[in-house]
Amino acid sequence: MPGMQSSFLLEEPLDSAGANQVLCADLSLLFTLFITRLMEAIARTGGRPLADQFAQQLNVYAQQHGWNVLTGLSDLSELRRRIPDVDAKVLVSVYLAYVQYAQKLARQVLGEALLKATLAAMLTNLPPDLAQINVQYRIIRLD
Amino acid sequence: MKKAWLIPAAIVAMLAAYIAWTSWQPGGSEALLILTHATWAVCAWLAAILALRARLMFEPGMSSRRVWLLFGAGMTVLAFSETLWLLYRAVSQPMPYPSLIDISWGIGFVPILASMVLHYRSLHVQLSRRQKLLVLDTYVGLLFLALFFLLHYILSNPGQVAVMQLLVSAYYLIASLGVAFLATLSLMFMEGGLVARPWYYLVSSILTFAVAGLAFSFGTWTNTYATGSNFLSAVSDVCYLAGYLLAAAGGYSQLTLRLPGVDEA
Repeated sequence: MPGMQSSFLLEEPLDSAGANQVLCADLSLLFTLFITRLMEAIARTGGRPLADQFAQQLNVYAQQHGWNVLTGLSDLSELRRRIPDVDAKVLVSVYLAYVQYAQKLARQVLGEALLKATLAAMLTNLPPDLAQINVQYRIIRLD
Repeated sequence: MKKAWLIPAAIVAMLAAYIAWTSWQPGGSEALLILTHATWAVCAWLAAILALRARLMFEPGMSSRRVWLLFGAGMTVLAFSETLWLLYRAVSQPMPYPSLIDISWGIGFVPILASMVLHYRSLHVQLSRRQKLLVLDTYVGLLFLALFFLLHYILSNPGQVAVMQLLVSAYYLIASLGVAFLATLSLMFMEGGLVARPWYYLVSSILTFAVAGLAFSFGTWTNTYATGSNFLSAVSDVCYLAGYLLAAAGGYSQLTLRLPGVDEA
């Protein structure tokens, strides 16, 4: 994920602008990693066009739920280049909703067992700081 | 994939049409024989083309691309074998058993089996020990059942079955069931997902070929195999046709996999 650095400043209060920005970056990195792993699993088992349709569907969902109004980013793929500059608490709830939708959609594509194996592998290989953020905010869950 | 029922419905309709033709045999037994082999050849070429096209859905270097390439290559050899039969027939050459066609068919089946093994390995299938044992028990049971009937026949009719025929039959039976076992485990791992759809057809295809091969072997041992002449031959011929149709359906299903609600580009 070029241009994104993971944070070790989680203990800092969120009202500090710098800490907020770092948390936004970490959350965005976690979310992008999640989507990327799902897309890889879909591309590996169902083909690239299906993975692209998955991304397209997620973007439609994001557009319908005010992604560009909230973040100023045109679509989810722009997360690879820019970090949204918003309140991290709002971003947490946005990503939670998107992850739930993505997981529901991925379950339709991959089936329960393959999805769980993909998520388990992803969570196992998360960098420690992102794993900590995920535990704290419960964004990606196996249940 | 809005009308997913269309593929199974088309397969059932084609098989029903073939069974009807076999039952009434308009044009006589010779016409049925040519129709049977021509249909196999067309369906096998269709399966080969669709499988080779399906591989392009995956990026270079991906295991799934090699899986479909192997499957397509195997189907191409089978299609070539079926076409070879038509050519032999056209020049009225006598065909011994096993003939060049049987050998070529046996070779073509190897990449198909390899594709199923590769697919299983690339998925890193994670199933419970109980699930694996359940599938294993089912396939071992099927294998023993088939071997029991075959051995019963061999022991009741000593000297009637040539060693070569026995080896060819054992190869198809053990290889088909062994690979169908792995393919079933892969399918269970993907079960409920859109990506499993092509594999329902491919696993069914392998199992149908196993039944067809078993019936054909038994028919050749007992000298009763002759297209359109009895029930055993009909089972074998219908199962071969079903095997090719299901293989083609697998490729088509892979090519048309689409998320519900997504517009075509």
